[in-house]
Amino acid sequence: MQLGVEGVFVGSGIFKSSNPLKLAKAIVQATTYFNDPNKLAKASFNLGKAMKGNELSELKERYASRGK
Amino acid sequence: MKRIRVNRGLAKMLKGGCIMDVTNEKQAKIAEKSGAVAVMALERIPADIRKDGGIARMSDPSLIKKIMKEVSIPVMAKVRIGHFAEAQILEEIGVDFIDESEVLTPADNEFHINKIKFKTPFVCGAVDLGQALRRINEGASMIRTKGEAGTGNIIEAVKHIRTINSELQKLKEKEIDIQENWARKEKIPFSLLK
Repeated sequence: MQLGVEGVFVGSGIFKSSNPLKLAKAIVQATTYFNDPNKLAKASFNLGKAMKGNELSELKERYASRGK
Repeated sequence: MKRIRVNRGLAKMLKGGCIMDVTNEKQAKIAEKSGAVAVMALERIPADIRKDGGIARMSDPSLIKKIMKEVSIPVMAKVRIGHFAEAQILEEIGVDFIDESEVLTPADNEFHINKIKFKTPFVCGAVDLGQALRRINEGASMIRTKGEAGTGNIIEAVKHIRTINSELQKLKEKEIDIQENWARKEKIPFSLLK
């Protein structure tokens, strides 16, 4: 949001985490109060385990290159 | 033409919010409860599409319908790039937004869907300003950066945001003939660039 976008799509992150409801709420908070470090800090506590994810170099296929 | 204005209005209503991928009614409920402005209904989240490999298609309409019944916020669903028949089906069952998405296996390597023909608003991915404007020219009401879906890695999304913003900034400062040249090269009407 600080880079200038107007909203956030959250893909796999929420339901691949250990506590989806808590993480989802925190992400909504962070999107709403993106310019308030105090609120961001408060939203960041005890969110549990995040999705594991990949390093880009490990990928077999890059989806972003689909569709010109 | 009128529809475009309505659809852009619908897109604007989602401003400042989060749209979450969900694969069943329970997840949709959690997303709604957490304050999501909309949900994206799909059979598998991108991380699993990546893991499973193979061809990824539009989700079963029965799943999308179930999720639409469960929540009161808008429901989006994905179609393959260029797969206008999938889009017709989603419009018919009444989804609120159609995402023509690179996360599914593309159906057409030349053409995207002619989105102007549809009543339902579309959201499309882009990695740069040219792609974003080509999608808008085809009728998209909302543009999202592509990022590299399903990786949990935001580096590509950040790159795409910065690219689009800096291209826009640079073009604004250029003379009109350079802007026209750019539009021609990117296959975008100059009026849209303006």
